[in-house]
Amino acid sequence: MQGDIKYSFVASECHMFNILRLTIFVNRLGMFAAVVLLNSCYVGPGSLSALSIGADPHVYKLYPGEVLAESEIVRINMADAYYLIIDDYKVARPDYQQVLVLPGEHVIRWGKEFMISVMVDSSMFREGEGRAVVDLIAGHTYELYADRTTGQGYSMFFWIQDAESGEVIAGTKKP
Amino acid sequence: MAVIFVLSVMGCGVAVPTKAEIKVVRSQDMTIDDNNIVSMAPRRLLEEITKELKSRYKNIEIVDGLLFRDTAFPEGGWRLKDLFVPEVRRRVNEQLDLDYLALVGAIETSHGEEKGFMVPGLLGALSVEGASTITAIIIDLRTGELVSRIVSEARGTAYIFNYIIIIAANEPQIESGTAESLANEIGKVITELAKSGKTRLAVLAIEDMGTLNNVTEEKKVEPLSEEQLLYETETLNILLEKTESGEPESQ
Repeated sequence: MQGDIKYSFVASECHMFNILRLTIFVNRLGMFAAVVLLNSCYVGPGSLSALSIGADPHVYKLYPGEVLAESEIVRINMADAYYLIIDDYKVARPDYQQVLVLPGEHVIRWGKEFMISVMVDSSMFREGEGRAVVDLIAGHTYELYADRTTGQGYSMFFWIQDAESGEVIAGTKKP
Repeated sequence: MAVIFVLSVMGCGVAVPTKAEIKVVRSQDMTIDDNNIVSMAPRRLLEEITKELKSRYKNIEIVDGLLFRDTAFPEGGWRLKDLFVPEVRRRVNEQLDLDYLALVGAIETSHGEEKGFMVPGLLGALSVEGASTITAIIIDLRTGELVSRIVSEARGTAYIFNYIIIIAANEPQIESGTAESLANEIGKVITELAKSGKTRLAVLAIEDMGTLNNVTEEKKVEPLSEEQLLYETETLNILLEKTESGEPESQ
């Protein structure tokens, strides 16, 4: 066996994701059109999971003790982040889309895998990670964003934004 | 023929799920690392295992994982080694009347080399082998003993056939297969320990702090020992002397 699948941290079965792997696998052979059609016309298991996108997010209580009131905790939306490591505790977005933590200083790392045009990068994927030490305020909701520019010499941007005020509290927002 | 023609025009991909080859091994070879924490992070994997246990083993009552975590670790930290402190176990027993804890490790998936041929956009047949492994440990919370270690492995080969824009593939259920067989084995071990009587179990995950499989860890720079420091200083001094004296080797 060789070549670990990069997505192995996604801990349980995800048919759509397997199909994505399959499409990447086929894509390597230059079958881009067929892959697009495979995704758009896929009728196998998991094809209905796309309908659950608007469902309630799974929330991870990442603070100890009893459940606290909204005004006493901080809510972090994964938004663009595919994974989050907060104070060394890791969370993958397929498992949880929101994390609840206590207010105060936290070390946050969040990552995203960008799809890149084959004309720009033959690997077609590039992973980037944002890191920040932030002081989170009780009762606030923060969102983790990641975006990139396109074309040759593209740049990746990672920033954390206050959901209510829109203020960027860490990182650099994509211009 | 008409079906193939219609599918060719529309473009179609079908993946048929197939069963994977399963192997489950029990062992007593268990070690606990200081970095191990008890976690609820792999929600979907834990849900799948819990669901499987509930459906197959009516003698096992599953206790909510978050409730267990908050009872055992009221101050946070969630370090596994703290579970072996008698006071912690006593608190868990008193408040939850819990007998066993199953801790599930990360799922590890790998794939082999692609075999076959593919003429892009025309014709192709490829195969790739995949394997998935999950490890779990079971702790007796009454005695604080590590009872068993279970390794579940599933293997399967995916085949992909392509004709112009029609793609047909099978998808071996290696990840769900290994989770299912792990749950089944956890159930067997717990049933044997409980001697078929009613018992209470919590299922959580075990993981190392701060690492995701796809995240490159920063290399920690270890401080040099006194001997190493002396050696490095001496080497630097020799190089400096050679540079000053103009020896070409030092350039």
